[in-house]
Amino acid sequence: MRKSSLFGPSDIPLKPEEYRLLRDLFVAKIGVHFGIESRFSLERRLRERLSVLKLATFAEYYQYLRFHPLAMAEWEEAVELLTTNETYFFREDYQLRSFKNELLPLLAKEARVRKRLSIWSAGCSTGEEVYTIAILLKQSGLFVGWDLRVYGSDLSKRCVAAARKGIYGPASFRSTPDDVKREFFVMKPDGHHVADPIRSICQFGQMNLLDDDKARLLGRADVIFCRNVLIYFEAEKRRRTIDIFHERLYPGGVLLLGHAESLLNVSTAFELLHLKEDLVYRKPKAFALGAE
Amino acid sequence: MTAADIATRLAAPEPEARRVAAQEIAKLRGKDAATLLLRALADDDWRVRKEAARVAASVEPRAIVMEALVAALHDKLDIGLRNAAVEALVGVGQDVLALVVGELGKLDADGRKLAIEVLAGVPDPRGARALEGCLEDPDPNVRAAAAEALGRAGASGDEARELATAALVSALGDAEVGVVLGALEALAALEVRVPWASLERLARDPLLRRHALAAAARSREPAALAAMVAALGDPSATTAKDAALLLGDVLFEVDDDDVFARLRHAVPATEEALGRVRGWARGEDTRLRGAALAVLGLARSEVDVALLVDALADDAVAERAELGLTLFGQGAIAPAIAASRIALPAARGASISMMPMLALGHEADVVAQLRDALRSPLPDVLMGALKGVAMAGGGAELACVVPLATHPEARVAGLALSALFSIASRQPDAAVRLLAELDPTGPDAACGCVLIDAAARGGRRSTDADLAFLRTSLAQGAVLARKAALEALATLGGEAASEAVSFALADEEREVVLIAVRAMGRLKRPEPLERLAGGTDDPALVSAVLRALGDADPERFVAAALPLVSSPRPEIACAAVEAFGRVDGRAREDGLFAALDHTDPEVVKLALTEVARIPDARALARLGMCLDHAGADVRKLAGELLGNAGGAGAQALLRARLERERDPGVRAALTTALMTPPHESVE
Ligand SMILES: C[S@@+](CC[C@H](N)C(=O)[O-])C[C@H]1O[C@@H](n2cnc3c(N)ncnc32)[C@H](O)[C@@H]1O
Repeated sequence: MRKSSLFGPSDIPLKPEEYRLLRDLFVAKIGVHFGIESRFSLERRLRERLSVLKLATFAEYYQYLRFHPLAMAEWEEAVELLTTNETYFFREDYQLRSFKNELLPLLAKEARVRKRLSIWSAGCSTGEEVYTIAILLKQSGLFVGWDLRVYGSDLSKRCVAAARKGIYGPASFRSTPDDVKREFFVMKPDGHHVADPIRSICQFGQMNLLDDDKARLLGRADVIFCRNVLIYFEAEKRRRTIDIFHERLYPGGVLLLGHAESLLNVSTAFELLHLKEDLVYRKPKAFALGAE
Repeated sequence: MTAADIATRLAAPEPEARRVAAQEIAKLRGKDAATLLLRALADDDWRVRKEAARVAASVEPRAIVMEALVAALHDKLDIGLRNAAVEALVGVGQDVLALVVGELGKLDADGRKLAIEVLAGVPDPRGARALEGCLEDPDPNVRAAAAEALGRAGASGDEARELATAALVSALGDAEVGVVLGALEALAALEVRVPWASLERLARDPLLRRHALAAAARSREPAALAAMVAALGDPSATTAKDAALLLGDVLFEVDDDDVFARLRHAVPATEEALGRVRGWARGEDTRLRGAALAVLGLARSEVDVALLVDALADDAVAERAELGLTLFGQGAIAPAIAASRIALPAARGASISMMPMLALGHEADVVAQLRDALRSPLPDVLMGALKGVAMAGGGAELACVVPLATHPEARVAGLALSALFSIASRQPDAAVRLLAELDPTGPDAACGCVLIDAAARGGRRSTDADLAFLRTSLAQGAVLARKAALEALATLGGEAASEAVSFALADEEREVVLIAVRAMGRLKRPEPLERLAGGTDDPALVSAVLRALGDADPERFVAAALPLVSSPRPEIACAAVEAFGRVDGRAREDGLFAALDHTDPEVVKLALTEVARIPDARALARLGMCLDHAGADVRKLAGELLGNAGGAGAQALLRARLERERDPGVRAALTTALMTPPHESVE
């Protein structure tokens, strides 16, 4: 007998038809697509839930997620297993440089009357991206006396709670310059705490990007960061999410995607904006219809 | 089954076979039915008799059945049959009245008592008039039965109630103790306040004293109350105990300084009587203990304060002890402080929390005591002290309260925040000064939010710094701080506050979301709420969202809530029904009336309960319609609610349904409803 069977049904197989059912369910609910190459990874990730719920087959798990009275709670567990939460401060720094040196001055000029800037990090995982953006805003020195807000949202409750705490270990700092770490973090026994002036402009919430009602809870945004999220999405859901972003942006507002993601073939509603080190997508100002 | 079949089976040896046969009688027509019914009513086995009585109402022709049943009242030998006939006659209802009343003159004394039972069971003014006549019967047992029966006259309408009241008060002059007792009981059942003048003489009779005092307690006349106090010294311990219990109830129920003053004037009875009361206050019987504690408070003797303070720690009598101390007033402060030093923590806390109330008008005198108690290591004492400073504390106390808002015991922390709120509402300037020392990213964030909230509600203009403080608190870790920030943001209002609150609807903690929902309502921002209402299957969230929508925009509330009333999920439909119950006007009726058509009886019942609160004729009519609902449960509730509503209209609906109703449970409910004493009328 294999040792791991002590801990549950380690050898329950994910049959091809079960794989298809679960794959389609996950796409429908959270947008994340598991291609055929991920079948075994799916099997591995979900086996633990079968054992906890004492289910004999993946088909039963599928039924549970769809119809069980506790399905809502189970989705939260499933989300933790199905999503990739990998993230760190100052990830993809070339893009962040463009953001700070080119985009921010542009925004500072355009929003100088309202003196308010609202930035959304959609799919923020444990919050590093949100705090990175807040640090860049402070460092730029362009917004003294402004009302600045950086909103972070993620599907995973656990991630949102961690983001709110704002305490980080070494893995999060793999590409953070030392001076930044000293200036914007406070070292304590349990880790590096994000400094108060940064924290106080960041707010977090739990959202499924496919839920447009939830997305509308956020006011309009000047910039939306959605990096390394859509790569996991099925094409149709990706399109839908981008439509939501388009709606939530101010005319002239900008969408920043991860380097492996592009809007090619997805939307013609955005125009390409060429920055020195990056290409970003902008909602045309014509959408203003005289509003601003 | 033919009549012959039934006759055979009614002779079967097994009672169950005879019971089933009795059931079948209802399906027969003609003279045989009445004969067989009588036979079944005379069965040896009570189950058969009961069944027969139950079906009597549906046996036709009624005239023959009724005649046979009335004839059975004359039977001198078969007691079982006579009792069953009474039950059957009650079951038939109003149709039997004329016949039974007409028979009164022909029956012997036992028979007249049975007839009186029938009249008592069938609510109708004609019956009440006949019962009044029976109070003049030569036989004392018949008079006593009539008096008792008149206690149910409330079911026969206001006219019958008045007639019964007058007749019963004059029956108090009857020479027979039994009749007087019956009359006293009946007057109690009718909740009549009998003037003391009619009771005084009775209170001197040892047999009647207890009952007369009980009636006196209801009258609340000064002389009556004095008599109760005097009875504490009654030679009979039972009477004295009864007097104490009655007095305890009067003290607890009445909130009238005049009554207290009158009673206080009458106390102390005698030292001996007080000694007795003290004994009860230490005794085992909790009801008597509670009453005695209240009486001791009235007597205001310093030696009893320690007893009262100790009793505060005992949940069974704490409320009465609190009442006792309140009645005692300011004079209790010093001895209470002394006593609380050596009392159990719970008693200490409770007595400390009462200080400001005892010191009414001189609160400053007790603040030092309260501050002292705020340093206690004991949660019970802290809680008492926080309740006390909430009432009496000034700006200087704010800083002592702040550290307690992070107390590990959640109840202490919660009370600390509410104390801050109360004090800050009275002292907005002190609140603002303290705010400058608090850090929105630290553990005191929740306190700061509460101070901002209270000061703003007190009319202080808020600043950008306030808004920044709240937004920072909302972004930071603690759930409590987030909740407090949301409440305060809703108070402040404005665009930035609304934006922050709106995003908090996506908070990962459900309790924060619920507060954010309420805050959106206060901010009058219906749009996100509307979207939430349809998009969740969490009943608590639906309920909160609808409540908030009602606050924000009544029209949109109706649009969002109306479809939910017919949700196939009963929990959701119930949440919508409750929400409609809270709004005013036509919308409320539309929502609730729609819910009355729901297929789930629980939803219908909830809607009925809400409809019953609407004081108009349309609502009354809808309640009446539910008397014909398919579900017996629903009919029963509709009956009860109409009974509570009272008034001639409701009574007419109830009586009409009682005529048709066949379900015994519903019939019983309708009869009880007809007897409910009137509150304010609905018409
Ligand atoms: C790899 S992390 C990206 C973190 C950060 N944006 C970065 O680039 O470092 C992807 C995140 O997307 C979240 N996610 C996946 N599906 C989502 C959905 N339907 N709605 C919201 N978030 C989702 C996951 O929970 C995960 O935390």
